[in-house]
Amino acid sequence: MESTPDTYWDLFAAYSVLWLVIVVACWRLMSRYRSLAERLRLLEERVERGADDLSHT
Amino acid sequence: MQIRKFVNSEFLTSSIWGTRIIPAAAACLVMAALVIVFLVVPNERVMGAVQRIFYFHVGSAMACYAMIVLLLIGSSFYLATRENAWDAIAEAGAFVAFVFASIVLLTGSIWGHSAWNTWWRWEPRLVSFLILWLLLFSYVLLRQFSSGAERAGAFAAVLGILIALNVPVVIFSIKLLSHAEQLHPEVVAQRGLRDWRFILGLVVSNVALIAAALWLWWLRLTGSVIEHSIRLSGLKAHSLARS
Repeated sequence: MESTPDTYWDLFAAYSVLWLVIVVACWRLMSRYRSLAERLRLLEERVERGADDLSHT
Repeated sequence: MQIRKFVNSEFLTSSIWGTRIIPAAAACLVMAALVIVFLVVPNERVMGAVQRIFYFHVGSAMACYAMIVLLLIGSSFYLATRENAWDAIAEAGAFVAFVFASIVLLTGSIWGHSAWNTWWRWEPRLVSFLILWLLLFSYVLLRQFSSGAERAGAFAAVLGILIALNVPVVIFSIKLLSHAEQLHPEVVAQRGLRDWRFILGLVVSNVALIAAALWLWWLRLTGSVIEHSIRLSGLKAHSLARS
């Protein structure tokens, strides 16, 4: 594509790639948090069950 | 309002707002801003290409102020209710505000050096913003070195309110000197954006960076809530094991 003095394809491409990297990193971080939250829920359930068992004995 | 219904690991990791709407809006808006800033907006007559940094500079300042609003809300409600969820909201807001305030200082210096041949000048807008950045930095340090301390939340909340009080000072500091005595321009108030593409670039980049800041805030909040919950569950399991 022909470039006019008012368009900066090189800067646009560089910042787009940088933004894409940030988006992917944030997305992966949220996925990690989701799996941690699930494991935390299971842990809390086990702790609750343990507390119930203790109170019955 | 039961804030704990919203500030918990289950809601924060499953809500459509934090996992779909805000991320998708931020991703698309920032891409749109990049298209407008680098491919649509014309070169400014005097400063040329470097003026394009203005869209990221102003947008980052707006995102910083938006996060300070969250910091103010979280800090005020924490002092009133002592609910940890409000503290987590304030803390996440301060961390993201610090990131954007750093971007503002960096882009401002680069712009100043290219446009006016100076990295820094001791004038009201720059000094008041530097004070805001230092206050945010002290908030971040306070939270880093006082994790787990009971009274840290109250101290941080008071500091958070002080930070928010500094924002109007930064905004109105530009009025303290005449335009001839300072380098920092007052672009919007002086109707410096005459071409509609300048205004479009400014509006889209502001909205985009606020959306990006909201996404980062959500992530930071989720991380700190999960960390707090893990610590609580660990303590509970430990006390059960001992009894």
